Amino acid sequence: MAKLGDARWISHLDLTRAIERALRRAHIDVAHSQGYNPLPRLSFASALTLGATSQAEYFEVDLARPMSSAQFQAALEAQLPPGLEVREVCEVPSAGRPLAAGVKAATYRVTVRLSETEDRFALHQAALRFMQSSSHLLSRRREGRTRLVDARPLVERLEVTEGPDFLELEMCILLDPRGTVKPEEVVAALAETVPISLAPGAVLTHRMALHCSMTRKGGGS
Amino acid sequence: MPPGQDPVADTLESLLPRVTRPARYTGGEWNAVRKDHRSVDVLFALAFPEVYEIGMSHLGSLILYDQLNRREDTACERVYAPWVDMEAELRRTGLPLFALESRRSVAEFDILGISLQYEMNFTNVLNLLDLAGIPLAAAERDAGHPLVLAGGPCALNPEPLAPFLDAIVLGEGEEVIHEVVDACRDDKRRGSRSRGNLLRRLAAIPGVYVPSLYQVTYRPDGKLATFGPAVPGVPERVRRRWVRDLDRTPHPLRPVVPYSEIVHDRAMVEVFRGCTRGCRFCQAGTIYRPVRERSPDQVCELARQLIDATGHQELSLAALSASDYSAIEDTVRRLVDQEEGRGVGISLPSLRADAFSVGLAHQVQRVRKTGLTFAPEAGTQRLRDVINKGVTEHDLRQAMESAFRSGWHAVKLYFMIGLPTERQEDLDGLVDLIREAEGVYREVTGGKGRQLKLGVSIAPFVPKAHTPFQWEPQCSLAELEERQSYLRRRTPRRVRLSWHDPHVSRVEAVFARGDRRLAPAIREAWAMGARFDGWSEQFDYRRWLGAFAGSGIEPAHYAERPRDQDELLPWDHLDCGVDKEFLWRERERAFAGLPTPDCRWAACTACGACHPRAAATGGAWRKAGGGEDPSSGSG
Repeated sequence: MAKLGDARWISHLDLTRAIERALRRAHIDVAHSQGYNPLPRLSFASALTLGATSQAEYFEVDLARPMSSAQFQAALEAQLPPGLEVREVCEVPSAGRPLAAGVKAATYRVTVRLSETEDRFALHQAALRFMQSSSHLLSRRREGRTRLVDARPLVERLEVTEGPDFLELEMCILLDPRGTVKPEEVVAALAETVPISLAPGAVLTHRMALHCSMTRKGGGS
Repeated sequence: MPPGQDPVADTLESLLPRVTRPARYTGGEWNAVRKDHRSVDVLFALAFPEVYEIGMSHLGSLILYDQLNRREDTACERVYAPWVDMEAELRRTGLPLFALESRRSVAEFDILGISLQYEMNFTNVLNLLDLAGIPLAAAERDAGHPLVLAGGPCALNPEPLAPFLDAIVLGEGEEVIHEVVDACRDDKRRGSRSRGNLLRRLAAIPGVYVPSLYQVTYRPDGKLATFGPAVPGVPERVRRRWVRDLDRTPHPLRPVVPYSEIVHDRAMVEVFRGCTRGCRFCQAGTIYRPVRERSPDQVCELARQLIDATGHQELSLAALSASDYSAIEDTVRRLVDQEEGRGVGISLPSLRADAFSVGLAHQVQRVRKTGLTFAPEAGTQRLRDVINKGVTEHDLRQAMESAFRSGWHAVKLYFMIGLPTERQEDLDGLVDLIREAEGVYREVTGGKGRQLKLGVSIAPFVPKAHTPFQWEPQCSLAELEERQSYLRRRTPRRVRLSWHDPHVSRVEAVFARGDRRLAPAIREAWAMGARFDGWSEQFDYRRWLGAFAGSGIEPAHYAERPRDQDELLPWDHLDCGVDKEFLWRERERAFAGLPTPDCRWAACTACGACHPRAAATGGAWRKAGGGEDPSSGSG
C-alpha cells in the first residue's frame, strides 16, 4: 500500500483504524481476536514516522470469509480515503510468522530542502564522512533520559544526489529488533556535524521499500 | 512532491511538521464533501470554536453540515479553532484561517456560522474572526464580509457576544438554516452593497434574532431598564424554532470519518430530542423541549446505513438520556442482532442511575466493562428534591449493586456543589454516598477480586438562563473553595476526586447570565491572550479579572446577585419555548422541596413547550407570577 499526500499526517495508530473502517465499509469479513476486547486481526509490518510518505506499507489481515486477492483489492480500494492506495494484494498462509518479524531493513529517500549551495555541499560531505566512519553516536532523549545510539552500523547504504535547491539522501536502514534509527535522525545528526540548521518541514521522508529476509514479499518497489 | 501549485498547500507543508496533531488541519477525510465553488451560489463556513476532536464529535454540526450540503446551491465546509501552536504558526506565516474542505480563506465565504455550545468558548469565537481577517465588530463589517451567524444553546442568551454577531438562530437549526441561506443567496444575487437590507430580511424570519436591531437601556443600579426593537417592523420577541417530527427530519447518513481519534469516535444515531425530567439546574432540560422520538424502525435503518457509510466499530444512541427512549430495550436488542456480526458494538452515552439502565448497559457492553457513570448531582434526598433530580438513594444503591454484580469495577459519580439551599449536611451526604458505593462493592464482591475504581467528579453549580434557577446567585468563590476543601478533607483517599475549577465556573456564571456590557471584557480578555478558556492549562483567572476591571465590569453583579421575580433579564426577549411563569413556578417548588414528575409519565406541567399560549407573543411573561398553577404534577 502507498501512503501519499496529506495521508502522511495520519499517525500509525490512526492508519490502523482507518484501514479497519475501510474494511468494514467494504463489507470485508475480518477475523477478530478472542477474548474480552475482540480486535480485528490486522497487523502492519512496520510503523512509519508521522509526516513521512511511503510506497511500501505492508499489512496483513485474517479473513473470516475467504475471497480472492482481486476481489479484496477492488473492494478495499473503493473505500480508501485519498492518499491511501492499494498497490498489490497477495494471499499468504495464515499460520505463517507475523509480517513484522520478517522485516529486516527499509529503504528511504529523504529530501532535504536547502537553498544555499554551500549548505548542500556541506551536508553532502557530512554524509560521505559518515559512511567512511565506523561509528556515529547520536543521543536520543526519551522521558527525560538521554541514551546514546550508534547510528552508523544501522545504515547499510547511503547515497546522495544534489538537486537545484535540495539534497536527496537515499538510505537503507536496518530494522533490528534491538534497535533502529529513523532516517530523520540520521539527517539531523549529519546536519549537526556541519553544522547547518534545518527548518521543520525542510526534511521530507519517503519510504521506498521494506526488505524481508525469508519471503520475497516487500523485496523492493 | 510538486511544490508551487497552491500557496496555502505550500505554507501548510511547512507548518504541519511544527504543530501537534497535524491531521486536525488537513481535511480530506472520508465523506468530507468537496464541491466546486463555481457551481454553487452560497459558500457556508460552519465553524466550531473548539479543537477538531471536540467539534467533530458534535452531532448538531454534523446535522447542519449534512443539511447544507444537501442543497445544490450551497457548499458547506468545516472550520475548527486552531490549537494555540497552530494559531502561532498561522500568525507567523500570515496564512488566514481556512476551511478544511477547500482550504479557502474563511473571509471569502458568504456565511460564517458559529456553534455556541459553551460560554468558555467565547474568546475562541473572536479568535476565529480575527484569524480569518474579519473585523470583530459587526458594525465594522459590510456586504463584502461573511455574514457572521451563530446558533446553539448559548445562542439563547447571546447578549455578551451581541456586538460581534450579525444574526443568531434560536433553537433547532435544520429548518431555519435553509431560510437564512435562501435570504443570503437572494441578497447576493441582487448584488446588495449594504448589510442592512439583509439583516432586516433575516430579522423577519421566525427564529432569527438580529441583535443590532435591538436597543437596551440600563438603570442606575446596573439592572436592565428596557429592551426592545430599535427599528420598526422587528418582532419584540424572537421565538426559538423546533422540528415537530423527528422521523421526517433528515438524519446525516454519511458523516465525515476522522483520521485522528476524536472525543466521540463512533457513529451516532439521534434516538430522541429533548428531555422532560426537569432537573432545575439544567438548561438542556428546558430548551430542547418537548421530547420527540425517532421510531425504532428508523433508528435501526439509520444504524445500518451509518455503519455502511462510515465503517465505525461503535454505534452510539444519542439523546440527553438514552435509557429514557420508550422502546429502548427492544431497539437495543434489535441493534445488537443487526450489528454484532460485523463486530459493531452499541453504546449508550447517557444513562440514568438506576438498575434498569445498568441492565441495558450490561446487555450492550457484554464484553467491554470500561466504566459506568452516574450523576446523583447532590448528596441528600432533600437537595435532590430541590433540584428535581428524580434519583433516590435506593435507585442509586440498586444501580451500583447491579453494576458490580455484572462485573463493573470502575464507577464514576458526578456531583455539583453550591446548589441553591445547599448546607453542610448535603456535603456530608455526598461523602456518605461515596462511602456507600464502596460499601456496596465490598458486599457484592466479598472483598475479593479487583479493587473498586471509584472516581468522583465535583463541579460548582453555574446558574443558567432559561432554567428555574436563572434568578439564583452563584456561591462566592471563597465559599465554593471552602466547600471544596471541606469535601477534600472528608473523602476517603482511595477515591479519585476530580474538581472543576471554581474560577472557571465563576467566569462561566458571569457570561451565562450576561448582557451586552460584557462584550468589551471578552474582547479585552481575548486581546490579552485568552483562548480555549475551558482548558485548565489555558485558563488564566487573573487575566479575566484584569479584563473585567479594564472594562468596568463587576463580576459579582452577574454571578452572585439574586434577581427579583420582576427583573428584566437580558434574555427575556428570546423565547426558548418554555414560559417564564413555569420556570418561576418550578423555582417556588424547588424552595418548597417539591419534586415535579416527568410529564411523559405524569400530568402535563404546562411548561408551554408543546402548546405555546396565544398570548405568549404579546409578552405575557412580563406579569410573571407563581400563584396560579394549572396542572403541575402532584409531587
